[in-house]
Parts: sequence; C-alpha cells; structure tokens
Amino acid sequence: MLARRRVSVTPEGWYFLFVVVFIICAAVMREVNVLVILAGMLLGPWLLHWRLAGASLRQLRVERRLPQLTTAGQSVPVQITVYNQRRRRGSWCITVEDRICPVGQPSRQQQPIQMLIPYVAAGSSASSHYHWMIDQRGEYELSQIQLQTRFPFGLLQSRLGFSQPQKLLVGPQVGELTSAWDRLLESDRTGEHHARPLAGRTDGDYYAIRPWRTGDSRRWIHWRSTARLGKPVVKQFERQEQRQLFLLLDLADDADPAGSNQLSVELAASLAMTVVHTACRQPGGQLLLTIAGQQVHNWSTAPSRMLMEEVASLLATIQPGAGISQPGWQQQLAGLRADVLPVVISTRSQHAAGELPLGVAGSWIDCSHPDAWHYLRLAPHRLDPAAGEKLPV
Amino acid sequence: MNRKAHQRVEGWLQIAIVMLVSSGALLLGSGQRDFQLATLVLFAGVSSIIFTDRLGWFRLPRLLANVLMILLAFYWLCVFFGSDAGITELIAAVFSGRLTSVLRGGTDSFSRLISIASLLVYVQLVMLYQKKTLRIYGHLAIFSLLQVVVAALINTGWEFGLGLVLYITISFFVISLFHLFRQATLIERQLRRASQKANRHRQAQLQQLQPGSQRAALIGSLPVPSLDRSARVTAAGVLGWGFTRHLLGIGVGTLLFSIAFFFCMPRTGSSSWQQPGFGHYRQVGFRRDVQLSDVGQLLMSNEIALKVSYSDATTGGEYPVFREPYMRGAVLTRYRYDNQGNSHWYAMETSPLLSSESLRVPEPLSSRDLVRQEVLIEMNDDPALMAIFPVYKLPDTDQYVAYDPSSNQLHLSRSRRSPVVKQYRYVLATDAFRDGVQAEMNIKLVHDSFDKDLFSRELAEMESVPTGIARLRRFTSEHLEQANIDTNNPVLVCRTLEQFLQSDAFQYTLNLGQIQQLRQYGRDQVEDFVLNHRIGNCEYYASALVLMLRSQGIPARMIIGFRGGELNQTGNYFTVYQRNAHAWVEAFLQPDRLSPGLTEGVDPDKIRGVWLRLDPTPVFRPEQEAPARSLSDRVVDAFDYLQLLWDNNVLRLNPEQQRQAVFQQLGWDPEQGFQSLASLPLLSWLRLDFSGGWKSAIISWQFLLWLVLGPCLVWLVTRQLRQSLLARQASRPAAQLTRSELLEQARCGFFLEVELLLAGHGLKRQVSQTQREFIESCQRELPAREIAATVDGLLNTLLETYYRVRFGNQPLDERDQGQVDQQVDLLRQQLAVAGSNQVTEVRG
Repeated sequence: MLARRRVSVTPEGWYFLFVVVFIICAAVMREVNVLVILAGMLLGPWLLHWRLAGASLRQLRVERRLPQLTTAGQSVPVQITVYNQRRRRGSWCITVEDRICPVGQPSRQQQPIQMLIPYVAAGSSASSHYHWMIDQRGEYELSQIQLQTRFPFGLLQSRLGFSQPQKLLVGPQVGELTSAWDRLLESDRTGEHHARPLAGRTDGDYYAIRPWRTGDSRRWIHWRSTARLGKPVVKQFERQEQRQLFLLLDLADDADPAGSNQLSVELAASLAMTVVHTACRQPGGQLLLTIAGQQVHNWSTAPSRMLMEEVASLLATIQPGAGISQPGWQQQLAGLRADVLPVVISTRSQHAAGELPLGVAGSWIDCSHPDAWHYLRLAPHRLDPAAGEKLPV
Repeated sequence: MNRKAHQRVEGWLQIAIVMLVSSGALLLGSGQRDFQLATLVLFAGVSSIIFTDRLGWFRLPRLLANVLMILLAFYWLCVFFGSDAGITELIAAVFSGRLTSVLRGGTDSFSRLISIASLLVYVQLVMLYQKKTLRIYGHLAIFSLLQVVVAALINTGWEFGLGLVLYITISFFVISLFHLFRQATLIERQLRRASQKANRHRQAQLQQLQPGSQRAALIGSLPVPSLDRSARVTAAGVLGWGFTRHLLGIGVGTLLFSIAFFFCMPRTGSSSWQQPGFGHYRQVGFRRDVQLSDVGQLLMSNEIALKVSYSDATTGGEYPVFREPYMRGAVLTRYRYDNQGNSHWYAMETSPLLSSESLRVPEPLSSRDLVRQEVLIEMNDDPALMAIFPVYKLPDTDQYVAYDPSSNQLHLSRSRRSPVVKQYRYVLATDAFRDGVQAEMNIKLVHDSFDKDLFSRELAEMESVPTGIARLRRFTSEHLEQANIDTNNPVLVCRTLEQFLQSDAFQYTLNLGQIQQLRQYGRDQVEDFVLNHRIGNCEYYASALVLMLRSQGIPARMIIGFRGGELNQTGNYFTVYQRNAHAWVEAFLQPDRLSPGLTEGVDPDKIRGVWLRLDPTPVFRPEQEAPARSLSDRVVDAFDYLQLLWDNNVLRLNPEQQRQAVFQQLGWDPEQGFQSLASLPLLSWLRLDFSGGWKSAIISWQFLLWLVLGPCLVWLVTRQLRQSLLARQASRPAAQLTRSELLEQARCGFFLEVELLLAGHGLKRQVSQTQREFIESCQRELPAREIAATVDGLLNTLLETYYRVRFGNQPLDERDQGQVDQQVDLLRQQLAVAGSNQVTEVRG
C-alpha cells in the first residue's frame, strides 16, 4: 500500500491569504499595532492549519471491503474503513474518494464517489458504506482510494492516496425464467412413452387437478371433480424427477456490422446465467453445462453455489468467439444419456451454426431472434432516488 | 453523515455565525462607545435564528435582499463622500440630478471608516434574514472580519484585546462548522450530479433502441453510486469535547504566535499612525489664554486629561510623590483689560524658531535629584504638553517634544501632530522634587544671550502694572502695612498675600453667575474681585495674587495647568482629569533668596533668579490627606492600570521599546543584524543593495525579479528532489512486514485477536507451533480450566475459517466477517466468564 501525501492551498485559502497579506501590509506600512495583532491572529491559524492538515492524515490507514463477484443489476455494497493509528488525536472531516472503472477502459470512464467520514477517534476506526449499481457485466477495477481533509478551516487541503487495487467481477443479470421455458423443458413429456429413472416414490403427493389429456392414465381421473365440472379432470402428482439438462451456451461472433450481436451475447449470457441460477436453487439433479466462446468450458456436476460462482465469473468476462463447432458438438452429444434434454442458447441460428443436430427433445434458442425474449423476464431498472429521475422500463 | 447529524451541524453553525456577527458589532460599538448597532445586530441575529432558520416564517427573497443591499451601499457611499441627507433625499437628488451638490466632498477619516463599517453591519443584517446558503454563510463571515479590521483602527481600550481573542475563538468554531457543513453538502451535490450524469448517459443510449423493450435492461451504463444513509454518525460524536479541545488548542497556538509576531514585527517608527486610535479632538477645559468670566456654571469634567508616573531617572526605581504635584501647561504673563470690562491673560509670543522645529528640551545640568516623569496625554487641538517644571531631556525623550523659551511652554511639534493620533506618550526629567515633595522654589537659568533677551522681555511684562488697579495697589499696601509685613522681604510679602486670599474673606465658587449680580461694572474685574464681591474660581484668585504682587514690585505670572490627580496604587501613577485643571501663581525672586543647597552644582553665572510657586485658591488644602480608597476604587484602579499597560506596551510599541523588550533580551540588535545581513556576499551576488535601507532595496527591479524567480526556482528544485526521493523509495525493497501486518494484509486479523484472548488466560502460542497445533493444545487444557465446551467449538470454527482465508484464498465477505466477529465476541465472553469463575474460586 503506497501512500503519498500532498498539501495544497484551496481557493478559499488563497482568498484568505490575500486578505491577511493586505492587513499585514497595512499594519506594517502604517504601523497600526492593533492591526499587527489582528494580522498575527489571522496568519497564525493559517500556518497552524498548514501543519495540521498534513498531520490529520498521518498514521491513517484505509481498507476497502467489497464482494469479489456479483451480478449485473445487483447493488454492490462497499465498505470503506479508515483506521486511525494515532493514540491521542482524532481526525475530522475525512473525505474518502473511491473510483471504479471497467478494466481496459480509459481513465475518463472512471466513476468517482466521495463520502464524508466526519470523525475518526484516536486509536479507533470509522466505516462508511456505499453501493454501486452496476448493470453491465464485466470486470471492474477499483484502484486508488484517496483521503482528503480540509479540516478545520478549509484553507488548505491535504491528500493521501492509498493504492489498493481490487477487482470486481460482475456476472450477467439474473432474471426470471418464464413459463415458456418450463414448456420447453417439458416438451418431451406429452404423447411420449419412455422410461425415466425416478427419484423417491413412484407416485408423489397429489397437489392439483388438470384437464384430462390424451395419454393420461384413467386411474388418475378425479371422479368427484369430474362430476362437478362435467368434464374429465385428472390428479396431478408431484413427481420427484432428477431431470438432466444439458445446457450449451454458444457465443459465436458473427461480426454483425449493425452491432446487434452484442445484444444477443448479453441476452444469451443472461439467459444462461438465469438457468444456472435457477438450477442451483433447486437441490438435487445434475447439470451438464458447456460454455463455448473463445474457449470451451465444460461442467458436469450437481448444481451448487460454487458452480454458480464459477459460471458467473466466467460469464462476467466472456466474449464471443468461434462458438461450438460440429466435432465438438458431436463429442458432447456422444456422451449424453437418452433422457438428457439438450438446450442450446446461441447467438446465431441453428442454420448458421451448421445445423447442429439436437436430437428429438433438444431445443435451440436463437438469441438473435426476438422470440428468445420469451424465455426470460428481466427485472426493471431501479429508480435512482438520488437523481430524482425515472428511467423507462 | 446522516441527515439528522447534518441538520444538527447546520443548527450549531447558525448559532455560531450569529455570535460572530454580534461580537464583531460589539467590537465596533466599543470603539465608538455606542452599542445601539450592536444591540440591533444581536436582536436581529436571535430573531433570524428563530423565525428565518428554524421556523421559516420570514425569509427575504433574494431579489428583495439584493435591492436592499444596493440601497444601503448607495446611502453609505454618499455618507462616505460627505452627505448628511436621508435615503429618500438622496434618491430624489439622483433623479433630479442634484447628487453632486448633496455630496460635500468628503469628511474626516474617522467618519469615513464608520460609514464603511456601518455599511458592512447593515448588509449583514439583511443577510441574516435570508435563507442561509453556503454563499450567505461565507459572506457573513467575511464582512464580519472586515468590520473587525475597522474596529481595530478606532479602538484603543484594553477590552478590545480581550474581545478580539474571544472573536477569533468564535471565528474558529464558525469556520470549522462551516467547513464541515460545506463538505457534507458538496458531497451530496456531487453524488446527485453523478447519478444524473449516469442517467443522462442511459437516456442517450435508450434512445437508440425501441422504447418499452426489455432490451433496455441489458444496456450497460455507467456505474451509479449511492451512499448508505443508515450510517450511525451523530452530531454529538462529531462535535464533542475532542472537537472543542482541538479548536481551543489552535486558539492557544494562535495567541502565542500572534504575541510573538506582534513583538517581532519590524518597526521603523516613522509612520504618523504609530499611535493608533481614530478619534475626534477633545474640547478640553485647558486653554492657553484666560478670560475672567462672570457667566455660567463651570462643569467639572471627569474626562481623563493625562496619566503620569514618576521614577528615579538614575536607578529607574519608583519615586514616591507626596502631596499633589503641579503640572504646568501654559504660562500667562500678559494682562489686558478691555473696554468691555473683561480681563484677559495671554502668554508671551511664541518664538519664531518654533516653526523650524529646532527647539529642543535642554539637557539636565546635573543628575542630582533627577526624577523621570512619563506622561501619556490625551491629545487635543492644543499642542501644549504638560510637565512638572523645570524639564530636561532624557535619552528616550521623543525628538518631537519641543520647548519654547519665549512662551515657556512645551509643544508637540507639527510634524508629529496628526488627526489620527489620539494619545501621545513622552518622557522628561525634572529636578523639582525634594524627598518626594515638589519644591515651591525653582531656579531660573539663562543659558545664553538669547535666553537672557527673552527673559528680559518677560520680566518687563511681569513687572508691568495695569493702570486701572490703583485702588487695588493701595489696598494691598495698606493690608501689608496693617499686617506689619516688611515689604523688603518679598517672600514674606508673597506668603502674606497668598494667605490673605486663602482666608475666609474670599469665597471659592464655580457658579460664576453669582458674580454678575454683585459686580461693579466699569471697574477692573480683578480689583472688583478683591475689593468688592470676593467670589470667584481659581482664575480669579490667581489673577488677584499676580496683580497684587506686581503692585508691590514683585514680578509674577499666572500658570495654567493641572494639580493633583488620583493615585493609581496598582500601577503607581497619577490619573489627572479635566476637573484637575487649575491656575496658580509664580513669583520671581532675586537669586539672593535661594538657599545654598538649591544651587549646588549649578553654574552661578547662569542663575537668573528663583521662581516661587504660590497657590492662593482656598479649596485645595495641602495638609488634607487623600480619602481612603475603597474596594471599588481599587478595582477601577486595576482596570485603569490595565489600560495603561495596553497603551504603553501594545498601542504605542515603538522601535525603541521593541528593541528593549524583545531584541535586547535575545541579545540581538536588529540594526546590527540588518547591517550584517545586508553585507552578505549572497546579496551582492544577487545584485541586491541594502545600503540605502531596506525600503529602497525592496523597491528595485532586482528585488522584484528575484521575488518572482525565487519561488519558481524553489518549487522546481523541491519538485525534483521529491521525485528523486520517491523514485528511490520505490526502488528500495519493501520493508519486511511484521506478523500482524501480514495477517492484516491477508485479512486474518481476527485470529490474532483470538491468540491475544487466549494469551490473556495463559495460553500462549509458541513460535514453533502452527495454529492448528496451538488450538489443539488449548483444547486439551480447556477441561482443566473448566471452560465451557462451546469454547471448544468456537475455536474449531475460527481455526477452519483462518485456514480457509489464509491458505485457501477464500476471503471473507461482509456476512462472513460479521459471523467471525460474533464468534470472537462470544469467545471473549466465555473466556471472561471462565476467568471470573476462577477468580471467585481463588477468593473463596
């Protein structure tokens, strides 16, 4: 942690100095003794302030705490703690300036924030919290924390910079999967008959009724409700299934001159992130995940928080690349069981991808097509009360 | 800082700014001895806090306030340029084009200063009733400071010094609170601007897309910051005793610095403003001519005329003075009786040499019984100075003190006189005292033929007898004959006539209107006084004695001055008031009347005669003792002495005093120091020539050039040095961190705390032990110490967390940190309970 301290005169300090010099000149030239006293009483605080400004930041240490990983649209809490290692003297009116900038962006893209820590007692610490609202995935860097103080008179300013680089990974925004997605997952059920390993009891708990459909067993008919409603209805049972999903995120860079590919990439990443997030919230099951961008990453594991963090970390910085290739796809499919449902989320159409075979139950979601939005519902932007403006949703 | 703390700080700032403005007005009022404006400001301040700031019932709109301030500025500018018209008349004059005729072209400096200060005060009054913004607070503080600068020019009292210290202390609090408030406000504004900027950026991006689409949710924008408003910072935590102590410490440091700055600031003593204090000249009771009056009541003024202290000129020690001394001001030798029946006394003509200011006080002839008299006189339109005569020059007698042998008076020379000078301090010596008592007889010396001629003229005037007092002459002769007084013994004649006038036959009065009813017009007033009504004040008595003595061939003259005064026992000086103005007589006797002791050490050829002081006024009885001083008198004396110290050591600190008080104590002569500095080779290398004095050296192109180039060069050099130092520091290998620093860096400081807690119970980790080994050894010892089993679990949890963070590269997030903190707290409690149980057991 490299600290550099500088003391400079503020504009108010220059005005004050001008007045003091004027009074001193008048006092010296005219030898008005009371003016000399007054000049001394004005110059003294300026000089003392010069020493105090530097001393106020001496033996101060600052620490920043923030999560390493988050997702877009989430408030990122940051805690800044200033430690005063002096034994006797406190520090007042410390302004802490922090900056965040997307990695690789020019410094003018830095967003500053200032907060005031009114008082740090001797031998103690004081914390201040703030939040970043980041709605763009990527890697962000918070580099230097600058402490400033103009206490007590605001005539001189002392600055102390602490180089404390920290990175923040912002994953894609997590939304909500719609019923279209549910139908997509259950599209293989209706009208088909095949064995599927079940977990737990064969018949789950009865929890609802629905209209009778072709293929339903007669034993499921709820006769009382049928008599009441006048049409056949069947009982629905909770069935504990370990459903295997094979999710492939295909981020192909088509170099679209219109720039809409970027939107497709964001949508695909967000949709994939949401699927993983949803899967990780439901215990049990197995998730097969492949993310193909510039490189191909594979996971075959039970959904867990660790998996979600890994995926979020990867998706935070992933850029489109070649995507999945035909041999690669064949290789992936070769290892799948028959009951695994392959779903491809891609930034291109299946045709553009070379008509990769999906099998009977597989689905291809082309994020460059408007229909892709049917599967995902994103949370509206939060209003920013500090700005006093509302943003369209 | 949360909203409540912010409002609290603003509340204190409002109170402090009102205190500042009021104290500034008070300082200004103390200089003018008029506190009406200060009272108005205080009332306005208090009411503005309540009705404008807190309740918000009354707030001047900005436009109206600006109009009011413009009108005030216009009015006071007109006053500055000499107008005494009201505001409506001035406005009418503007519209009718007669403004220049209303302005008289200026007034005295004092009135101009007061007009500027009044403008500042009234503008502050307007601003107090406006909604307080950062700009208003700043302007109030600045105007208050300017007002105090004006107050410093017109104030001479010691209480101004105290008031200034109080004002500066209040200003520290005001500026600090203002700074705190300003920082919090500016940060809020910056935050709002950052959010608005981010939102504008987003708006611009959204315009490129179809509105209403969810695509907007994926569009990135700038990160938007927001502060956590739930910070538990209270104003009491910020503005506590530490804050006050901090500022008071700055105040003490400022006071010490200002004292050192004041005494070390170089002075030349050449400015006519050396003695500060604007003031109008006082219309005093002392006059240089006397006209006997029979009208009106004389008022005894309690205004201070002068202060005088006496010390031994040789040893410097105090010189106790017994009985009330006579300080001579004017010598009135000529008597004229005009056709309207008025008697006048005039001084002799001033010497033509007085205009060339070459007259100086004579040097003492011997050091025998030389007493130093130090006088601080309130200046007036008369340049006459008072002293106990005969006067002699001392080494520190001001060069502007001149003595005119023709009129026998001390003057302040014209070059020193200035309308801005209110008080003047001078020192002289006298040999008029004998064992603390002012002698009644003093030698008259003539130094050269010029003196001799002058005295001859004066003697002729003193011997002249007016023609209209034949009956007075006859009466005097008869009185002396009846008293069997030898008229060849002038001393006896003088005493007899003095006692005659002091007798009950005459009545002292200040009510001169009584005379008018008894007076015989057509008769000389003095003769009328002696032979008819016998009522009058000291001027009548003195006039009578002078003429009676002259009628008997004894030269005499009237002396106007001050007699007595109040002894300030605290400071050991006399305070002489205007009511102490007095008239007495000096009779001239031949040298053979002098006692041999009086002429010891004096050249007999220079002795011309003897002055015998006579005081015929019966009110003053030398044998009466002064009344005892009460406690309140002593308190007043103490304050008066404080004022004298303030006058001598602050207001009138001149280069000589500075040299004695400061530089000689340090063993350094500034003149020599300056000469030695001026001869440094460096200065000649820089082409700076101080041989003609520092002022001429400063006003030269070489000095101005170096004044500009010098700081630039210094800045460049220091910048280079700083950069090279930083580069050297960066290339140096990093200092080895201590263990605690390592742990802090790795964010495992909590485990250090655990180790400290356990060490407090005698469980100290050995250097060779790993953390796991240490915890295991503690767990083995826990049962023996009857420590709760939960401690065991806590230690395991903390150990696992430590290893995970330290070596597993899994830093703690906010939630985990909170949990760890809770576990450490719980461990501390459990160990504390175990410790107290052990203590209980031991005691049991």
